[in-house]
Amino acid sequence: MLSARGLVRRFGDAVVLDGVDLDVLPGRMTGFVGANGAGKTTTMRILLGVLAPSAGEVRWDGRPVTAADRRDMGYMPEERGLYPKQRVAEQLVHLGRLHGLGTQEARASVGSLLERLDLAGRADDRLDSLSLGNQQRVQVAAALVHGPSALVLDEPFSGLDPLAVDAMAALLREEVARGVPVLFSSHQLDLVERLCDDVVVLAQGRRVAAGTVPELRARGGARTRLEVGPGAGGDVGDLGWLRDVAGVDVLDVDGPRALFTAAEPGADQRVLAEALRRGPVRAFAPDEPSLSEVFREVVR
Amino acid sequence: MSAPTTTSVPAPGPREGATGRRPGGRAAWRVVAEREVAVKLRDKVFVGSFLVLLVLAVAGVVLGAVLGGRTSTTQLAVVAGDERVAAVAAATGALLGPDDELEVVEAPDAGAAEALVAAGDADAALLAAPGGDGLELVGDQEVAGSLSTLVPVAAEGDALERSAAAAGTTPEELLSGAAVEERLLDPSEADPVATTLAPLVFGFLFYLVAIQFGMAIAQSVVEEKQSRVVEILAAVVPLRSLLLGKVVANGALALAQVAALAGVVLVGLAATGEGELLGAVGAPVLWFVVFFVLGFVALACVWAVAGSVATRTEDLQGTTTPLLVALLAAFYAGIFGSGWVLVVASYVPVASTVAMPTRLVAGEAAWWEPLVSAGLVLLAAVVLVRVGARLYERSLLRTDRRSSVRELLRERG
Repeated sequence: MLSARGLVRRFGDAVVLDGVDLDVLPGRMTGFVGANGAGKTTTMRILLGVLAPSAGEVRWDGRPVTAADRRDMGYMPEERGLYPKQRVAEQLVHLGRLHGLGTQEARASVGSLLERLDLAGRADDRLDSLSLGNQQRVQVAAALVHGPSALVLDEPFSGLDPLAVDAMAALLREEVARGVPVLFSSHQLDLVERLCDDVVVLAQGRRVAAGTVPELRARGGARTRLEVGPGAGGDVGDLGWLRDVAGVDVLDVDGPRALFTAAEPGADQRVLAEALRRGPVRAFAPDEPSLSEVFREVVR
Repeated sequence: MSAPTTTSVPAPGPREGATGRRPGGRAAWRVVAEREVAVKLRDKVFVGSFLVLLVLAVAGVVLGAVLGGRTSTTQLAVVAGDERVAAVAAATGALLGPDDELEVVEAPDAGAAEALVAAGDADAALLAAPGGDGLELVGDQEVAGSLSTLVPVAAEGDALERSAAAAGTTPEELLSGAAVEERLLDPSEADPVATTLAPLVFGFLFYLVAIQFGMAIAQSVVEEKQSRVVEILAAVVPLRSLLLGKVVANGALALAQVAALAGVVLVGLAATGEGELLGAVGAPVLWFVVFFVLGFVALACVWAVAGSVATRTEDLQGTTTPLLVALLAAFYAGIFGSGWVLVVASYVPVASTVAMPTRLVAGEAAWWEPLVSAGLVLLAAVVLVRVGARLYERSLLRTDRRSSVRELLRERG
């Protein structure tokens, strides 16, 4: 498990991280979300030791992380970059060896990785002769070449076309299946919701929410969505009366559609009965907020 | 954060405990150094410029041997059958240096001899002076310097011999007591050619190679910074390993280049029969190599800093200027310095790389002087490497702008 406890980072007078706790559990995919400037990249750089924290510590399997531990991790920084003039396979072998692999081992790993990424034909081409999409794949390979003990990826999905997103997601799932803790940051919350087991939300250098995706979505309380249909007279209906029902918090009313929470037990059933008395009901269902809605809520 | 329910997961990856080293894996700095060397050896410009230097060194040695061994021939026209003129001409030939030769060209008469001179077939004509018992040296527009000096001496000797014979004595007897011997109070073993050439050779070699490989370090640092690969590297290995790898690789290449050039020159001198010169420069050349290594190491981390404070390759021109100025100063002090300037320079770290071997070739330095001076460079190297490494670590990951050294020194680790 890769964790951080009480991370603080100051740049001059600016406090970029203000006591961030984080746990990336083995065999689980953790999404790291937050607005621009919330401190995600700084946190990830501290996790990998690229940046030193002003206070707090990074832990690996419950003890302070060492340089040797970090040598086994895989990292994809926000600012992508490899050696532009070096051949693809060669620089991946170099990085593998830096991660502690023997030359033969590194070659074998690079071979199979390029095969998996559909880049086997480009192994001996210079990196800068590849398309941007392919360069991004090589960048992923650079993080995976040594069979990392943990993966930290800063915006791995940015700039990818939908097919490449699927391929990247599949790759990350493979690593998770191997039992590796995977942390990635993204602004694509639908993607995070789809892929991640756990989510950590950062706002202005603080952790404002963390938990499994269902836990986060349940934060909004039990919401109910109601939609009434056109009545016999063809009138579309208006749920304005909802505001007068006791024990109900109305979140939103838009003509025949409304969203509300039952503030006391049974209030939702009273609403249903009243709605049916007034006309046809097209929908009456529990409604969970999407991750984006939760996100907007918690970072506000 | 809530604990997930799935807790039984396999141990991640194929790894090797907490050492971070797997079987067959190498220390990070060695992997870095190997890449640096491999990249350089595949660089056609690098290999090409080394070969050019090597060819120049070989050419220098060969040319020196050819020029040194060449004999110049002077043609002197004489009238055939004039025994006195022939004797003086022969005596003149004997007076010439070992590399010069006198060729006597016989003409039927004085007119023909003069015609030879006029036509350029002879450098001068030696004739009996018309209307006198002396001799006449005839040149075209001028008489070659060696002839105008040596012919009168030869003529005097010839006259002396004949006069002595006439007086019933010998020239030796007549000149007894006139012998003058030379004695030096401070005989120097230094070879004058070596003393003149050594500072030039040491100076250029140091200047060229130090700049070439110092620049290579700065370039390699800024390239990794510019391409952003440095962030991945920084996440994998300690920055110090990265720096060490670069310094070792470029230092080894620089040393190999200097050793190859020095070797070519030394072997060349031995092969062309300049054994005497070899004896005079052998030890100083070895000292030069020692000073070169120390001086290079002292500056290596400073070069790395020059690379790390830049953000793009274009910035290097500005950030490496102080280093270039320092090297140029060391170069000039070694080449043109003399007297106390050279003595001081031979103790100033880096400048001593040129100045101390130069003094050694000239035989001016006592045996302990290079040892003390080398100790000073070593000290400077320790300080500069420490400060340089720290500045490098602080500035390397700032990719947004050029850093100022003052700012970096102030910043707390």
